[in-house]
Amino acid sequence: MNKLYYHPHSSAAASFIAAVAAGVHIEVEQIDFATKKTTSGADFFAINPKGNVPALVLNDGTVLNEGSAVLQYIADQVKLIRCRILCPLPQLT
Amino acid sequence: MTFQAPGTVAPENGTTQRYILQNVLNYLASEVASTLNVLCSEAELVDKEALKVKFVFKFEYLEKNILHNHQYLVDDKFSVADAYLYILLRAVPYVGVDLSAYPGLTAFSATVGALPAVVEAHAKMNADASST
Repeated sequence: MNKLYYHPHSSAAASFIAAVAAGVHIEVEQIDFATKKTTSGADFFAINPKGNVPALVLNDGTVLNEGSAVLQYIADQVKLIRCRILCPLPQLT
Repeated sequence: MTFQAPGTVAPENGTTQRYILQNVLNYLASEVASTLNVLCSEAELVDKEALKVKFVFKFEYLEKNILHNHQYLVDDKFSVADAYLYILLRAVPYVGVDLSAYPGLTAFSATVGALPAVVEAHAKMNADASST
């Protein structure tokens, strides 16, 4: 599952809002600005060398760490969900 | 997989409205957020009062040119850009700028803040949720 690192008092809160508004289910974890550790104690710089939030780690390991990209990626997961449900299955010949 | 009823929060890729969204996101990041970050910082190298004058010019632009007669920033529909501006506006009082001089932005903040998804998101963030 895609994972969003954020802090509720940062601009990354917008990415959290986007996921809820879009109905996109992602794992989330807060970071501590002072220690730059995640809630579970991991070194955040090891996850995102820029140390900023939002940081969205995709299933393939790609890290998106600019808000504009994270927001649009989250928005675009909605169409994928819809397509999985509504698109016809491929014909097997 | 788990999912809730999906909502559209950005125009379709490849459409003009999507480019408009990217236009607005870039502006919010490079002009509004960046200035806010400098005003929030403890750096003394910057004349913060002079910077505040430039900062509020951006509010005038947003109010008169983007939000004028529109409830949301892009295509008259809630998008991720609205979530971004809404969050940035929450930080503005902390840098000593009074948003009451901008009724359009004030109304925008109230509108977005009252959206069920935004209320739900705040509640989940406060509860330190592990997922959305």
